[in-house]
Amino acid sequence: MILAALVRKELIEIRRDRVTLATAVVLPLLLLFIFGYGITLDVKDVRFAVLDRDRSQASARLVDAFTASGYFERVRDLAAQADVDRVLDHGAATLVLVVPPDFSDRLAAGRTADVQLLVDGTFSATALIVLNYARTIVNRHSMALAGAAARAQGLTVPPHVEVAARVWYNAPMRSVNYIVPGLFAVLLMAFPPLLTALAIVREKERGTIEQVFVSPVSPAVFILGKILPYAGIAFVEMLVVLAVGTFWFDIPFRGSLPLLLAASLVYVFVTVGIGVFVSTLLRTQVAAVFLSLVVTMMPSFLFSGFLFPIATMPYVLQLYTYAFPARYFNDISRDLYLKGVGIEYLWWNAALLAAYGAVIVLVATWRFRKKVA
Amino acid sequence: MAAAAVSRTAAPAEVTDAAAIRVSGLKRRFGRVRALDGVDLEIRRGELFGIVGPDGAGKTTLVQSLCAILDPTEGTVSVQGLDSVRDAARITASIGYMSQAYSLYEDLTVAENMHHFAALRGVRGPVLEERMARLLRFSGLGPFLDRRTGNLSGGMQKKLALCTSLVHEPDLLVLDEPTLGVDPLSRRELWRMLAAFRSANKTVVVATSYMDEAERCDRVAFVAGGRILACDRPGTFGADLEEAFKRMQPRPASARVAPLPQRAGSAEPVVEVRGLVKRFGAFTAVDDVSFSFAPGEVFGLLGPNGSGKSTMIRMLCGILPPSAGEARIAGVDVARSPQAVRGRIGYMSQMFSLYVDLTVGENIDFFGGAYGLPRAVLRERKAWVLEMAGLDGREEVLTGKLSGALRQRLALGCAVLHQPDVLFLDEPTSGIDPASREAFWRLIGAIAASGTGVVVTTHYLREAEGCARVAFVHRGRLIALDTPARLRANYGGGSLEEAFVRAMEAVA
Repeated sequence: MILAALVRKELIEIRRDRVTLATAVVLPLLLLFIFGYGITLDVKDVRFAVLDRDRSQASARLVDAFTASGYFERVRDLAAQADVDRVLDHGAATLVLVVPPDFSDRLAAGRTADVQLLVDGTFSATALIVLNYARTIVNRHSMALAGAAARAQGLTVPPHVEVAARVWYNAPMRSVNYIVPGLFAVLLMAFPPLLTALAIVREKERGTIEQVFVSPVSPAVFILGKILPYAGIAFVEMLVVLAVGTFWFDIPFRGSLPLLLAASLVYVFVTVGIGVFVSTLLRTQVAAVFLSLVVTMMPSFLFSGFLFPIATMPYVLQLYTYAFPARYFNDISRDLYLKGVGIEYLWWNAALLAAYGAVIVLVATWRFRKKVA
Repeated sequence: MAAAAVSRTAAPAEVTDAAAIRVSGLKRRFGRVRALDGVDLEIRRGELFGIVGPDGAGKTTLVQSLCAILDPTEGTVSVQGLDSVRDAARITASIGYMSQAYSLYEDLTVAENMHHFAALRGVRGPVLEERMARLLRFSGLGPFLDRRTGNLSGGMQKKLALCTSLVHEPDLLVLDEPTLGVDPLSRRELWRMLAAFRSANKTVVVATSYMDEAERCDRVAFVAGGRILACDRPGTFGADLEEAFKRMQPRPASARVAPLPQRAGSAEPVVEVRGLVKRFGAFTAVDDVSFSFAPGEVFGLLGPNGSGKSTMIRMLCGILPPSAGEARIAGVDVARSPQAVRGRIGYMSQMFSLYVDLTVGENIDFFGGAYGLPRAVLRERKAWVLEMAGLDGREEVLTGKLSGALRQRLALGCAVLHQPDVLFLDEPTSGIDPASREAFWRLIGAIAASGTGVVVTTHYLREAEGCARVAFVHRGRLIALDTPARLRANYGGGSLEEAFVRAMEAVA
């Protein structure tokens, strides 16, 4: 009865406060689009320049092999060695292919011909991928030449090992397929805890909390009265970003929807619970905003595995990531979207999440005392 | 387990105890500050008990201790036989409390607030309807049920807050300065509501800075420095309670006022207002107001909450453009050249306008810099402000650590740093104890005597007697403007407050 009154009051306040509603629904959508479009680890349309000192049919064919691959965009044809330094220094090109003057002559003579690849290695991860693509193209081209030469002489090509690589779970290797399901964990951690913490600290700041102290409302009921409405809003937020994220970005969803919704529900209680916990530490709204950002938003970007794989972190940091529930939900969400696995693979993360939520709400309730000092 | 058993055997005390509240040896420290330093008190059932005392005396700490929302550092508080630490939950569940802070949800309507607090107390059904009807009738809030609480005037908000603490008809009601910042009319209505509630033989404890309110109590405790200096029936303190308490209290710092340099005198009116109008949409906040006054005059604007006093002041300061009419400060048209006017006026509002994280000296330097005072002038004025505010040698103290009365004096000092032609004071003494208010008015007098015109609004009508002339404001109009003595005579004698109430009732 008292709980119903508290929840009703909270919902009325939320409805009249446009800023809260906007923060709850519009901001997460905005971030969804910013990150959905902004963060991409895909290597595509690499700017690529050519210094072709041979100017032969053979060298032109090699260059065509690059442009035909779809990964490289030929932006510049260079005239001299000095130009190579310039385009790399300016960043006009990421990759430069240098074909020596005797390229076609050596090939015609049946000798090994060299080409030079220069890569801008400032961002090593991309450079590695670019280099691998380039190498693969040159190798394929070289194999094709060798095959042609052999057949021309009436020989058969000697046997070799073919790699049959297949990418599972994200066959087209679109990074958005990976980013968006991970983003759900981050977005839900960014705003609901903040709003919940503000809702409680605002009562402290204004003084209305003193009326709650002098009333039959118990700490548990008061906290539940904050958790329920904000968990409700957070769940709606979840549904919105889920729907928009999945359909707009065309993310394949392979797992069970009820399972994802159930996990979201648990996660939402955890995030709101963190907000309640933060509010028990503070007295002012400004402090609540900062602390919420520091304990929720930043770690969930860094330590949830959203962008940086946990497996590649130093061991101590790997342990540290367990402190942030975004990592559990991130795993669940990506596994459901991309792998489509069932509860048998997810129960451990789900159990950790539920335990996390229970502990944080209990601690918050225990810390909440009906005293002004 | 043992503790639980003890508390169970101790509980029956509530049956035999005639005292509603029993406080013994109560001490409460916050860090090194001793807010309460040994309080013994017994409040009987059915009593109307007043707590008065200067700012920072420990009134609020005492009230919060009685409500079991603040644990004693030492000593015990027992409320209706229940211990305030062990049985805090039972105490808080049953009593009624109106804190000094804002106690309503301003985004909720009047009806929603009432229903919310009723639901928290488990009051519903026909009982709720009957009580709500009665409370709304008494408070006059009936017509405003669907209005957002944040849009009510200060007086109406306080009345609503009282309604929400009465809805469960508690046996004990504790009020912390319930009439702070409330106009005299609303104050009367609040007390009428309390009187009606009291007839049902309930205990009421009220902390207040109004002596006329203290006089209505069965007994009054005078608190200062965390102790009760006196506790008895108001009649035993002599005819004038305010004077009696002022004598008991240590003199507020520096009652003396340093002389101010005399301003170049001129007989021209320093403020001239002609046909001033301000409309907000369909609502006319200020309606065709005209007055003028000379340098050195203290001019009082008195009216209920929401009658348009602050709007007038904001137009005179050039913060708000008028819808019609004109206002001149020292001959300069405010609406045409607000920038020119701003250097010639000083303004101090009821809201605290100093930076609490800066020291006293840093605040003075900041305001001096903001007014563009040359360094030599600032040094001289700073010394004057420190002396006048009684803050000599406390330049390095953080402003937030000062008592309310000292802060107000410092704020006043900062407002006159640049020796303005006109000084605007919007409820400057709200929530300050009588002795400090008196000292504050001596300062106002000194500032006026130096040739500055002063406009002041207040709800303490007793202090408005210090004005040269007073205007009664009702719904944006001046309904009377004269010297306090003539106003008293015109409205049937008695105090200025009685004259004010009669004037307001005559036009209502």
